[in-house]
Order: sequence, then C-alpha cells, then structure tokens
Amino acid sequence: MTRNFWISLLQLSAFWAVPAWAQMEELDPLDEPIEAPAGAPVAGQEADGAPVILEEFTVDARTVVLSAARTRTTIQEAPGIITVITADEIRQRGHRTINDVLRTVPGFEGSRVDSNGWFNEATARGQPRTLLILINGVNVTEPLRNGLTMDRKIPMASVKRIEVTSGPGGVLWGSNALLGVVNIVLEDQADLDGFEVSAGGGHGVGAQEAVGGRVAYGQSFFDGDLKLYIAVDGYSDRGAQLEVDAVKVLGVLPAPDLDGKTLYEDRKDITDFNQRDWWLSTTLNLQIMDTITVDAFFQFETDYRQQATGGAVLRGSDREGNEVLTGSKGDDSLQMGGITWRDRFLDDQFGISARAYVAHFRLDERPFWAFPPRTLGTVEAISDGVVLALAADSWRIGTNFDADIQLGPEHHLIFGAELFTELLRNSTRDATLRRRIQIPGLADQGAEDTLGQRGIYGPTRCPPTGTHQVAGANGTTPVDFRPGCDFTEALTSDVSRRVAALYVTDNWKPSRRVAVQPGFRFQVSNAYDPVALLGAAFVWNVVDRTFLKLNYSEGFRPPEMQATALNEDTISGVTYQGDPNLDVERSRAVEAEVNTVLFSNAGALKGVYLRADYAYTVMSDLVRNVGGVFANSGERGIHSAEFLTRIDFKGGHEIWLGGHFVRAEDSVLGPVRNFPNWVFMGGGRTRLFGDHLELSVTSTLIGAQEDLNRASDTGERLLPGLVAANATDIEVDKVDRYLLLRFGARVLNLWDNRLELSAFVYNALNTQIREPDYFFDDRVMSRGQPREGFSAFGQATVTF
Amino acid sequence: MAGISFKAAVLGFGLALSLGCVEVNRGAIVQMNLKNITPSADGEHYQLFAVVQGSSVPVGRFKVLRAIEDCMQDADLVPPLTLIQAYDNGVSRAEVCAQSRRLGAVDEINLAAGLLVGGVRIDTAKDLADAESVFVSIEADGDGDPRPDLVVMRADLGAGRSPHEAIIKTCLEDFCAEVPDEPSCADIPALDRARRGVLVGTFVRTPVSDVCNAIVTGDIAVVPAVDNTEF
Repeated sequence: MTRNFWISLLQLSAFWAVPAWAQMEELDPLDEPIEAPAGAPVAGQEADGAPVILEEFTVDARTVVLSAARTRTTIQEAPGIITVITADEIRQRGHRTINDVLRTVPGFEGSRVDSNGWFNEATARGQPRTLLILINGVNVTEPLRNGLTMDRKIPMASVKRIEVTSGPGGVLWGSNALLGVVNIVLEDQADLDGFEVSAGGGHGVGAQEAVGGRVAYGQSFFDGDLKLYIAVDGYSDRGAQLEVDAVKVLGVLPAPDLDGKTLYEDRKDITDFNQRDWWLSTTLNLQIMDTITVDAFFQFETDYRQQATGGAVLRGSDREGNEVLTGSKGDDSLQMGGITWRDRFLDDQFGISARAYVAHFRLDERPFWAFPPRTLGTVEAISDGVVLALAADSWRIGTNFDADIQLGPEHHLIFGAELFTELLRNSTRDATLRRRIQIPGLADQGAEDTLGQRGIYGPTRCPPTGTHQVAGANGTTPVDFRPGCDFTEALTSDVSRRVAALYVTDNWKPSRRVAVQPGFRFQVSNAYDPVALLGAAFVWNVVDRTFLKLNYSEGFRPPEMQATALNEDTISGVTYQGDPNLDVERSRAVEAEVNTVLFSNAGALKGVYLRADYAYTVMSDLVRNVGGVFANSGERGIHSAEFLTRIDFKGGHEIWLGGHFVRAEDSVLGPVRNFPNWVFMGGGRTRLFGDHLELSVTSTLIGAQEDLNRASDTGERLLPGLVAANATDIEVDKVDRYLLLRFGARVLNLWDNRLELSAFVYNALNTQIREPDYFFDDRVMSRGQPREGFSAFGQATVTF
Repeated sequence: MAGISFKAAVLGFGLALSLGCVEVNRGAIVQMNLKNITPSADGEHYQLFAVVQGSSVPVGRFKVLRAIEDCMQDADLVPPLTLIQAYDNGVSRAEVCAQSRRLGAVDEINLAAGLLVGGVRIDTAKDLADAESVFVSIEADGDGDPRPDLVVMRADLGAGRSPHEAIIKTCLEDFCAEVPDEPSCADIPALDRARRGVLVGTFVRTPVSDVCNAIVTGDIAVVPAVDNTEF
C-alpha cells in the first residue's frame, strides 16, 4: 500500500464523516405505513402523491422493498443489501427468466447449469443452492435438492417485482435463506385493468423456433371489494444447438462408485434436437375487501435435454427427420397457492397478516439418459443405453403469522410464527421415487459375445433373470432382475419434516437518524437440531440521503432430503449414502454498506444512486460427500464486495453499472475455483421520438474461472478416434472471461397507449461458453458444459 | 447518541470481522492409475508419500484387495476387480472393504472382457504444490513409524507432463539411432501436450537399474490447491 493510498482513504473518510457530524438536523419521523405504489409507477418517474418517507429520495417501485424487513421499508434504510427489479425494468431489459434478472444483480450469478442442463439455478456469492426463492412470500425452494430450476418456469410478464437480498436472511425468513433471498411478487389487479394479450416469436441457435404469448385479465368489481387478476402464459421452442468439444460415450456418474475411465470420441459435435419444449403457467390473484387475498401459481412444462446428464450428445431426429432417439424429457413442475388475511388496527399502529399455503414440486425425468445408445466400431457397446428414470413429488404445506406494532415513537416491533411440513412422497406415476438402470449389454448370459455377458460400463454385472438377494446396508434385499438387466429400486424413502418457528425483530430508532434492528429466530424440527439465529443491523442516516449500514446476519439451510433419505440398499451404485441425522448448514455474515443519492433533479439528471458493500461470510457444517456418504464437513469463508450505480436522466434515460468481487476459501478444498472471482454488469436505455422508441443494452461480463476436467486427447487410444481418459488425465482448464450482450428496442405508446412492440437480441455476440461442469459435484470431472448462443425474440402486446 | 452508536457499531463490526475466519486448507487432489501392483499381503498395506522440499510427506494409506477373494463380494454381481481401499491402523479387514473406504480400483482395460475400470482418488490435506516426486512403500499394519519402510515404486513429478515420458522418448530415440530399421522407430510418438494446473508423474517399480527398461506401474496426477484463475 502506498502513502498516497492511505491519504486518499483518509480524504474519502473525511468526505463522508465531516458532513455527517456537521448536519445532524432532525428529519420527520416515519409515522405512516407506506401505501403500495399506486399503479406501479414507471421507473424513473416521480410517483405523484406518494408519501416521501424519512430518508428516501423518491418513492417508486424500485426503492420500496418488502422482504428485507417483512414490512414496507426502503432499500436505503433496510437492514441488508437490497436490489429491487420492477416489472418495468423486466420489460425494458427484456428479461426472460429469473436467472436473466440475477445476471444483472451484483452478488449473484444467474443461470448456472449442472448435470448438463438438468439444473439451471443461480448462485449467491459464488455458492450454489444458497438462495431462498419465494413466490409471493412462499418458500418455493424444492426440499428434495434445496434448489429451484429457474428457466422459463416463472413467466416474467406476470412478475410485478423481484426483491433480491444479498446475504443471509434466516432471522426473518428461516429455512434456505443461507446467502440470499429472492422474493418474486406476482402481479395483481392493481397492475392490469382490462385485458392484456401478447404474442411473439423468435429464432436463433440459442432458442430455435421460439413462440410465446399470454392472455391476462384484471378487473375490479363491487366498488373495489373484489379484485381479480388471472393470466395464462405460454412459451415453446426447440431448444438450443450446443457445441460439445468432445463427444462423451461413457463415463463416471456422480456416485461413490469406482472412479473409472471416460470414453470420448475425440471430435466436436453439435446437438440438434428437434423435440419441442414448452412451458405453461397460470397466475391467479383474488382480493376480497382489501383484507383477504387468494393467490395461486400453477406451472407445467416439458423440457427435453440437449445433452444426456452423463455428457453425451442427444438427438431427436436424424437429418432426414426420422426420430432416432426419444430424448431425455423433463416434466418438472411447480404449483403453489395460498390465502392471506391482512388487516391493521389501533389507528394503524398494529397490523396482522395470517397466511396458509401449499407448494407442490414435481420431478419427472423419463427417459433420462445417463448415456444414450452408442456403437463403437462394429460393436453395439451400449445398445439400449444407460437410462435413469426419476420421479418424485415433494410438498411444503404451512401457515405464517406475521404482525407489527408501533410502540411509542422509537420502537417498531415485527414478530411472527410459522408452522409447516415438508413431505417427500411417492411419485404419482410409479408410486415411489424409482430409478431404473438398464444396461442391456450385461443381460444376456447366454450370448456368445463376451461383451454381451459383462457390458462395457462399470463393475456391475447383471445376474441371471430372477430374484436375487442383494446385500445392502440393512442386510439383504430381494431384487427382481427382469430380462434386459432391468430392475427397479427406491432411490429415497418417504420423508416428513415438520417445522415450527418464532421470530421477533425491533426497528428501534433511538434518534431520527439512527436505526438499530436486533432480531432473533428460534426454529425447531423433528428432522434436525433446534436452530437459534441472531441478527443485528445498525443503519445511520449519515447526511442528507446518505446511509451507512452495518449488519450481522445469520442463515441456515436444512439438509436436502436426497441427502437424508437415500435408499441405503441401492444396488445400482449410482448414488451416495444418505444420513438422516445430518445437521443444518449455517451461514453468518458481517456486512457494511454505504448508499447515497446524489444530484436530485439537477439539470438533466434526475438522480444518481450509488451503493457499495463489503461482506465476510462464513458457511459452516457444509453437507458434502465424504467417501460416498453425505456428512456435515468443513467451513467456507467468503469475501465479497459489491457495487451498484444507477444514473437516471430526465426523459426516461438511464445508465447503470454494477459488479461484484468474490473470493471463497474452503477449509477442506482450499480456494474454490469453479465460479468467477468477478462479474460486472451494466447497461442503459434511451427514449427517442417523444417516448415512442426505447433502445436498451444490457451486458454481463463474467470473469475467468476454472474447471477440473478429464482431457479427451491424452488418454489411451482404444479405437481410431476413441480415447479412454484415465483418472490421471486430469487438468485444470481455464474458462476465459466472457461477455453476454443483449440489445433491445421497444416501440411504445402506440394506439392510444394500448400497443407495445418489442424485440430483443440475446447473446448478441454469439459468445460460445462452456461452463464448469457438475457445479455441485466436483468429483465428476467431465468436459465443460456448453451454453446457449445467439437468439432473438420479438413480441407485440395489446391492452384494452 | 448517534455518535456513540456509530462507534460501538464500527467497533463491533471490526470485532466480528476479526473473529470466526475460516482456517483454509491448502490440500490437494491426488489421482492415480495403478497397474502391476501386488494385492496387499496379510498384515501389510501400502503408503503413498510425497517429497516436498526434500522431506517425505505421508499422503495416504491403502490396501490393495481383490473384490471377491479378499472382500467376499458377490461374484454374480461384481467382476474380479482389484480394489484400492483406504486403510487406518486398527481397522479390520471387513471395515477396510466397506464401500465408504473405496478409493478406486487397479486399472483394468479389457474391451474383450468388457472391463473398463481403474483410477484412484485420494483427497489430502497436505499441501503438495511444491512436490518434487512421490513414492509408495509397503508398511506393516499398525506401524506407527512415520518413516517409509520398503519403497516399491516411485515417480518424479513434472508440471503438466511426466518427466518419465521425455526420458522414455530419449531412450527410444537413442535406440533407434542404433537400430534404425526397427519397426517401432518408424513413427516415434510425440509427447502428450502439457496439461494445465497439475503435476504429473509415471510410477516405476523400484529399485531401478535401467531407467529405459524400468517397469511402469502406473501414473499419478496431483492437483494442488492453487488458484490460477486470473482475477
């Protein structure tokens, strides 16, 4: 560090501190609960008549946040690192998925895939499956895997706002709020008065022959005593063309099974899968007398994978259009619904919210190729392929009670309780979660061909057809081997997890400029030890519209059910051993933030919002695979720094820039290298021709990362073009930094403001990306997983 | 009031930052392919050592056991593999055979027999970023002496490429210079490309009297916990 650096640091400190001590004038206290922003005001515009509260510069939909404190507050004073994305911003930037959104939020990385596209999730501070995903405040993080694929599952046209909290949020939100909370608030009647119809289409190697549309209706009845909103959204495409750098024929699967050879055809290939994927969802919101809300979200999908989970290329048809393989099909779906009663009493000093909800998660993957059929030379090595077929139903059913009370001028107490149960049950199709392994090459004991007798993959041999007593962890189990070496077994047992929790937090304002917010949560379950969480925040209105926050927060993640309930008597060998006594994984973080609003209505500037954060987070009791068994093991320390700047100009123009730096070190693995140490995001928009044309650009620059791989060109050559990569053919590939660029154009205010046209180009540079594979299982050192290239989509929306 | 709260908060924040930092391990992933290795005799096991800055660092202990004969696995379900199982002093044979102790198997590539297995993985807490070589010794079960006993194979490590490969290529080139008509000299293969981020070696059986004719007993690759990602 140079002397100049320290002098600059002192000057910077003085810049913040001196005005703070000099200008301690008192502001008006927060005396009224803030009404919901009327009619979802357009971002960047003043919300006429909206109350200006305490430190806030402009009350608009982007500064009011619900999830940070479970009551209405602002991002500037909320105890946490908050980013709000409004419906307008979603339309302006052309976001297609929640993952798209999270690619523009500092501290997060949207759209990381695992198992060659099976999962498509987001990370927080570089860590997978650390997010609590809420829809209208209901936890929709799937309990089986502690994650939620966020592809087209949630239609962005039906999203009112998304509130993203960076950092643990366990005191207020309980389970799964390990390193972040994403609260997705769906639209209601306040967002639509009449009909909205949209239709569009597009194409590109990243999303072929895409079509999509929606029909929505919102209406107020009986003088506003009944408000109805319903929307049906649909989207379909024929998947992406993905370039695979080496064609994987057979290899290791995530398992405690033997670490074996990996067979590669040493050539590139491109997936060309012609099955059509589709997503369909219905969003419903019914408000009765402004106190009772019934909301529901029903979603269904069929998504064919472009690559088998083992890494092999899949094809839906040959070049002549003949179907050659029924691809790996995923019928995963999510449905949730609830009823809420909310009212306020005692001159608005006391408020109650009671909610009952149910969320259902369907996992249905069949056929689910581990490795598709393949001929090696003249030998049908895996004539019918290696198939997994998975199905599971999981549920979360519960109630929430939240209340807040103003106690004098200084204390605003927020407290509540929740009671819920999580269930993992048999699939509706097979009556249980089943996995079928077919290795037909192993089956025919009478075959002359020795390949036919033993197969080529793995050490497992198929016994003669019939029932065999197979040794397992709990003694022997009878297993019925059918012809074709086809057998069925339970992957997990049925599980019920009951949870009860209490929380309390106080927004204590000892002075007009200072808020201190301690919080406490106690949660018990029949499945894990009691959890006590603490949180504390100090928010200081340093000067004018500048805030300093210091925050200590804790979070936890219950063990995923697949880690606690795995069938120990599995004989397929493609599984880990579960542990029903796993404890929760925990996080605790110390965070500091400075945020400010500058240049309010100065010349062409409407305002400049700046924020900078630093956090040190410790994750402990991590559940990971230790010698084939799930166990709580080790800690991970994470340094993260984030910043976000938004410059709003008069006339609806905007420039924004954000980014984060993350460095994680693990007590067992050392530096964690399979995520980027830095990500920058930025963009802007301009409005032309009297607000009739809006042009936008959105970009994300993702830093280098590392990927532990098996080299496909240095192993043993078995046949011409066929390489067996050994365990020692390992290398640390560097995934270079890459840029994702998106351009958009919207034609607005046509036909008496009823018609809007939009067109967006995604990954405009057609950047070819191969992400580190098996993000959640570093044991499988497969090749990098290719991601979608360029695509475009245009759409027309009519409201009437 | 605000000033006091601010100072207290900053103090508390600094205190919180200084507490609870994670003790980071700088271990390594070790991958091996083993062949021509004898199953462990009763009362003996193998131990892998690394030579780091001139000192022998124990990395892991294992037994080489036959799946059917030594571990009593079902011959109907399991082919006759030779397993590499983690060993600790005092652990019984049945415990050593447990699935949770599986490190891998001895190499078996036999397409005609339908076998394509091999590979051993040991995750170690030892920092092997500066490892120069590795060796494997046979130790008596229960041996508490950290020093190696009978060394049976060794490998020099090179960055991204095994030093032994270059030696063998030189041996072949020297041989071909003397016997140019030998068929194998028609096309001397090039060295594999260097692989990024790993230390690589070739195990040879010891003692080595003639390096050109040493018996190769496997390969090893070490991935040290060094972050090479460009910031």
